[in-house]
Amino acid sequence: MPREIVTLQVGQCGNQVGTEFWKKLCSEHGINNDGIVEEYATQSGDRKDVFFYQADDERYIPRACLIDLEPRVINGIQNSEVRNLFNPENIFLSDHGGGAGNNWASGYHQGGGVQEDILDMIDREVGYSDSLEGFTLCHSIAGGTGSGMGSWLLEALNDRYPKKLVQTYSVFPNQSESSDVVVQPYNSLLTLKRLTLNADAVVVLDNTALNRIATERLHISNPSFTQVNSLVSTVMAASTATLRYPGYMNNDLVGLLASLVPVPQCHFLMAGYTPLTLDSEAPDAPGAAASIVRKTTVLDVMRRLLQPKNLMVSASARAKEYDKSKYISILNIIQGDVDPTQLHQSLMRIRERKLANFIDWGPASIQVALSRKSPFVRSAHRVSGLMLANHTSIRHLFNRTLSQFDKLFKRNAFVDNYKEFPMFHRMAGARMEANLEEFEDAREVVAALSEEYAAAESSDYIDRADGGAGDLAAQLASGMQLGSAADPRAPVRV
Amino acid sequence: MATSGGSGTAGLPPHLSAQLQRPEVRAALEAARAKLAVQQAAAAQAAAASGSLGSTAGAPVGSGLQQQQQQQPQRPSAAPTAPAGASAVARTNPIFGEAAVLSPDKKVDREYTPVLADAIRAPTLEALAPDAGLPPVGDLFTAARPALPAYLDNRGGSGAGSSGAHAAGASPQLPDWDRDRPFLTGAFLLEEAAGKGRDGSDSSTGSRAGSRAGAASAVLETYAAHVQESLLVDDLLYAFLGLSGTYVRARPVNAPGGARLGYEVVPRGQLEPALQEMAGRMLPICEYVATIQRFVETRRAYEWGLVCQALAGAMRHVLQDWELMVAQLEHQLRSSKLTLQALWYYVQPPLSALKLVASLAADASARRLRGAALLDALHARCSACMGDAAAHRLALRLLRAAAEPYFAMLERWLGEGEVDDPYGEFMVQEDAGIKHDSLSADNQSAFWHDRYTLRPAYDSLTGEPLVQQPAGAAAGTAAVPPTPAGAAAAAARPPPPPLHDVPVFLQRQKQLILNTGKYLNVMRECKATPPRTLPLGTHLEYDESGKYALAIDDAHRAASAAAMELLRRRENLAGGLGVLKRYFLTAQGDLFLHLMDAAEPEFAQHAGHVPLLQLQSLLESAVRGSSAAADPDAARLAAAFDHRTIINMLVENQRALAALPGAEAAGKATPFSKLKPTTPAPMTASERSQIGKKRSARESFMLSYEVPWPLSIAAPEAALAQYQMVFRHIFELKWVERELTRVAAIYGQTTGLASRRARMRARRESAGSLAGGASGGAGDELAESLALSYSTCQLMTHFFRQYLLYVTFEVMEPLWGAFERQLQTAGSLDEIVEQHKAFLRRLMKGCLLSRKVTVLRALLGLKDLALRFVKLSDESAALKWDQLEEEVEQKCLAQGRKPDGRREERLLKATLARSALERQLSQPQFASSIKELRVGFIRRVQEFMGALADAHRTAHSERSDTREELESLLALMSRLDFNGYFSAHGPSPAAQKEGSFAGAGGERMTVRFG
Repeated sequence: MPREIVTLQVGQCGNQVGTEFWKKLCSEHGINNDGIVEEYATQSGDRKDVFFYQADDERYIPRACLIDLEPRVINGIQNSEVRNLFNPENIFLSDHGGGAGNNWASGYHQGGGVQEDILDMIDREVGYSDSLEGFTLCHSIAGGTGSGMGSWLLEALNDRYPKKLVQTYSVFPNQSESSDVVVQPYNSLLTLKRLTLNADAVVVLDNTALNRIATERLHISNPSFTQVNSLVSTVMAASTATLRYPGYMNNDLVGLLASLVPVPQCHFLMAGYTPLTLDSEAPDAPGAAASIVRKTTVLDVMRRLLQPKNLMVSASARAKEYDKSKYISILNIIQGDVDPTQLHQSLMRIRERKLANFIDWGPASIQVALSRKSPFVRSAHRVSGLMLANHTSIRHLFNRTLSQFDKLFKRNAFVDNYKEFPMFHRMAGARMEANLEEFEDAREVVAALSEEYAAAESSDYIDRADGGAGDLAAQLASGMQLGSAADPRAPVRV
Repeated sequence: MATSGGSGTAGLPPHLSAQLQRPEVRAALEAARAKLAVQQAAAAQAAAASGSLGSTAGAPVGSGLQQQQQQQPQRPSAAPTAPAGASAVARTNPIFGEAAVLSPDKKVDREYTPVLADAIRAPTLEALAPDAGLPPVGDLFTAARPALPAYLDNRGGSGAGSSGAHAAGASPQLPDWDRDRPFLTGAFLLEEAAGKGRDGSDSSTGSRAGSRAGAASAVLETYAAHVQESLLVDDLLYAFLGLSGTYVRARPVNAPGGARLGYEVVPRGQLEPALQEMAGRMLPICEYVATIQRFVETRRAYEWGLVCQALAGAMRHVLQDWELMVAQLEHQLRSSKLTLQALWYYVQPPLSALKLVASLAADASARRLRGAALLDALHARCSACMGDAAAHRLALRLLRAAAEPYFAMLERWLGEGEVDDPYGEFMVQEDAGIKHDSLSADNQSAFWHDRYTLRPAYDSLTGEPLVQQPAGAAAGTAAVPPTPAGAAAAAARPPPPPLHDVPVFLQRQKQLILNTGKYLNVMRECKATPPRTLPLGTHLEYDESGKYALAIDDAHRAASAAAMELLRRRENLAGGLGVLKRYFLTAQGDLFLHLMDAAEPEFAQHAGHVPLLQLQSLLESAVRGSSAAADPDAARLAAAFDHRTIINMLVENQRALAALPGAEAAGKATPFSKLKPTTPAPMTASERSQIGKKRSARESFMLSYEVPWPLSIAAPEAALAQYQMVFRHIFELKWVERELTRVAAIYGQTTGLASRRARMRARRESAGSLAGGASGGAGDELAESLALSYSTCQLMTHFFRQYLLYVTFEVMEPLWGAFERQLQTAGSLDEIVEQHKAFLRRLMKGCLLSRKVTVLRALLGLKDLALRFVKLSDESAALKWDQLEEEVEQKCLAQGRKPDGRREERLLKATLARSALERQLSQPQFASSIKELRVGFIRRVQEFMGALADAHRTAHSERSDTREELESLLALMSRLDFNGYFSAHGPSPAAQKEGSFAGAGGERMTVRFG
């Protein structure tokens, strides 16, 4: 019972990112493009079956469903080197192939229309696993298919598999430059609502930050999709490392997420990765070698991970606000050749230098999990680290989306595109009139989310400091009748 | 000699001769005959070989004698043996007459070379020392069979089979007649001497002394002085062979150390005083020879062992050389060239040599030495006469001869790992009953620790084990009447380590020697070919330069290198111990995840209701499902029940664990004495009815594993027991963590119910309601209590995760890493065993298992609270999805639609779920219980931290911990309170008062805390 995870990749971005992720997993597990395990990788002691299952002919098939409403990307995958990797039954393309036209409502509506096909596909995929742990959804929140159909999927999954986890890798649009998709704020907001209500964890991958990393850190003037996607797939692979390489802890998704998400709605995670390189760079190329000469101690890795510039979310809030924001939780997954004796020292150093600002309303700490590194991927780095953090500054991202949304929505711009779909209109007699409740509802949810994060920055988030019924200090001081349980000398029956 | 002539059985009665025809009797007779022949022929040979004597001996008597010896080769030898032969005939020895003719011994034909001639013919310095006579000889002359060392009797009496071929009873026996016939053993001399002492008259024993005495006693005075001298010399020469002569008679002397045989000149009249004086000087020789002879005769017995026999053989050589010299002197006498003065001149060098040998024999006899102790005595003597070249040479030869069988055993042991020691002399003793899976008393690997041991030394007179005298122990303490305090102190003092029965010249190498053979045996037990530890053709022997020590070192190096290589490569020591780490220290986390998932229903039941087999099959399926499936060792994992609580488990091993911190000092005898791992065994009926109903299967679950040979040397059962304790501990905590995670997922479904907005609204309302006197709405209370639940869940998750992270990545990983490195570099198996013990000791300490019980109790209390929280959450917050589905279906049907998963239906379902949750969670008991749990948990954490601080303080002040251990305590504390939450919510005022300890340690703690 390997606690399987089914990956759903929706839309153009989702499929591109997802495919990169599968390529990465294959190389880490020594699986070739046809799904055959290489000779050298047969005795590696990893857990391939979390993400793959074995077909009758010993091929490893990804537990993945590729869903898109337009054929371009998926056709591209089917003509690429990994064309034999995926199960062709798990590829869904809409019949008309027209896509969603960057319209959330279109994607959502089409999702509802083909729900039989898609849910059958997912049901079958789920049937292949013994003890499904949950789903991973890759999508972007700005476009049409990924956001709209992704939203629909989130709701559908929640309904059909209420007990399963849903984790998403959501690519947030680049907000620093004008997008070619003008309704991007609408799409984002509507998707955010589902991400808030129907997902258990969202790893936020901000295109703004990804592009910034590509240009500033990797010195690529005009980063291509492939290059950015490779960054994303690196993060995805690293965040699943503890699931695939069993260790002392964090061997299941639920455990991984439970510690990161103490308050259920605050489940938007930032990811950071170091050292940042592109896979296309050959490890022994002289130029690459020059740019990656660094010392890799645990402390270095942990410190670099805490630097905003290595985060894949642009928390472009003003510095003052950033200082106020706090970490709710941090999980560092450090892979590679690490001396565990340095761990404590590094933690202490970070505490002394106050590199990470934690919440006051509960105990919090940096969890550091040491994990194995794939023996089959050559890398110039001895150590690599991934940080998944629940940080309150992410609310600025939501606030930005909200303000952009407000700008458009104030003027009712582009609403007509949405009005066509049943969710956004109602029949007033024979006349169809716009029903924009959904927008308002979504705005309400996202605003509440932002507020929630803001509230988490204050120390009275859980306990009121006014001596009221919720005041912890008062309760502790009052010495509530805890019975004999509080007496340390009382023998403990185990 | 000629009297008995003809055929051996001619003069015997018919029944006797019939008996002699029986094969077994004949065989015995043949053997005896051979022995006699050797003794007789030796003397004959000696004469024949006198030619070679001259060349080897630069002695005073050498050259002058050579000529005449060759002319008359037969005569001198006949003289001493004839009387013995005659007396034997008188006793109707049936075989005597044949001996010379039919001897099968080839030695008759070989020329006899006096091997020790040069040694005994060079004067030793000892001769110049004032003659103090021989040391006491013990029971050499008094008993027919001198007593064996006392410990042999003890062993033989108590447990014959206990330690191999140690018991004297197991040795072969010489035939009775070999002991009973006085003329074979030399006992006749004693009998006669004693007899003469008793009745004072010459008895008709048939000896030369008896027959001659009567005839010649009157005559002596009548001779002239020179004739007297000649007679005296003749008689002296006779007595020099250790016999009793006419004028020189043996008589028993009662000395304090045991009766000896003294010689005196019995003139039976007037002997020239000058002659008497001169003869008196030479008399000790007779005693020496008699002593040596008696020693040689008695030590031939099998039970005295090979070393004694070899020494006896070497002494026999000395005697033979001496007899040869006597023969030569007699020849001189016959040629009328030997005066008493000349005799004195000639015998002075042998006198000292014989004295040396005789004193050795007396010493060995008085102390009943054998084996290593005998070698020690020889070695001591050898070192003592270092300044005296001749004596040293002689002693050295004796030592080398005696050590030869010992070194042969050593060679066998070093080269092949075999204990070839029929008489229990070798330093290594083997307990063949111990197989490679046996366990020692303290559950260590018995094969490694107990199968081959150094033989303990016993006092040969009392049979008491010898112990090392502590350096400071004053002998006077024994005289002081034992006060209670003194007695307690004496009892508290550990007994001094026992001495080992190892020759002093091998003392320094004894451990190496022991280990070399042990390695060879381990390898053989692993079915590997042991390496060649000794170069081909090596012959180990004693030498003063200690070449054997080099060979021992080399052999040890070769054996240990080969054994370590074997363990590291073929047996994959690190990998094998890695199995323990993977499963008992839960490094293979997914396996336990699967196990917990698969066995969840079973774990929840009472232990009595879950058959062990079912758990076992669940474990196996978990192994198959996890990444451990490819690991063949995982198949050896077994499920077991252990009904002790972890505290009880520790308490049962309390003494062992209390000894752990100072285990180095206390010695390794006590610490693990009680550690015994749990093995899979079905519950007994009483267990099933009593404990089985009280404890859940999870609480009783225990992993068990059979460590394969030869890894069980490094990881014996005692180690496994400790692994199991750690496993128990971690498994429980992992379970708690898993439950908390599960609960967190349950709470995850309540997204949005406890949003900030809802709570703010609730607060406003409650503030308003305080004024208004009405209670807030149910939904608002729900938001508050849910927020509290989140926080409680986070609190607990944080605590247990951080504790587990600490245990795994800060305790296990570094310790294991260090241990693994030591495994690669360790030079010996013992080192590995010790390192493993140290690893486990640190591990237990790091996991807080061997800390004060209060620490662990606090931790277990936290665990209980967490499980209470889990139970409460399960009861209140878990949605019953099936019910919900049904409800939705009904509503849909009521509205006349088929449920098809449309949006409206989902919305309906979500609303229903929400209201169901609200119903469940808005119970006032839920809120209050959550509050209570949360506050209780925080308090308990603070207590736990207090206990940790306390442990740190005591450890710091008692200096009982290493720096790393102290630091790891601090690390745990700072990890648990990384953002200062617990210290900010500080201990309650009462606890603060209690905890406001003064002193630097406390000061530092608070600094660390804050």
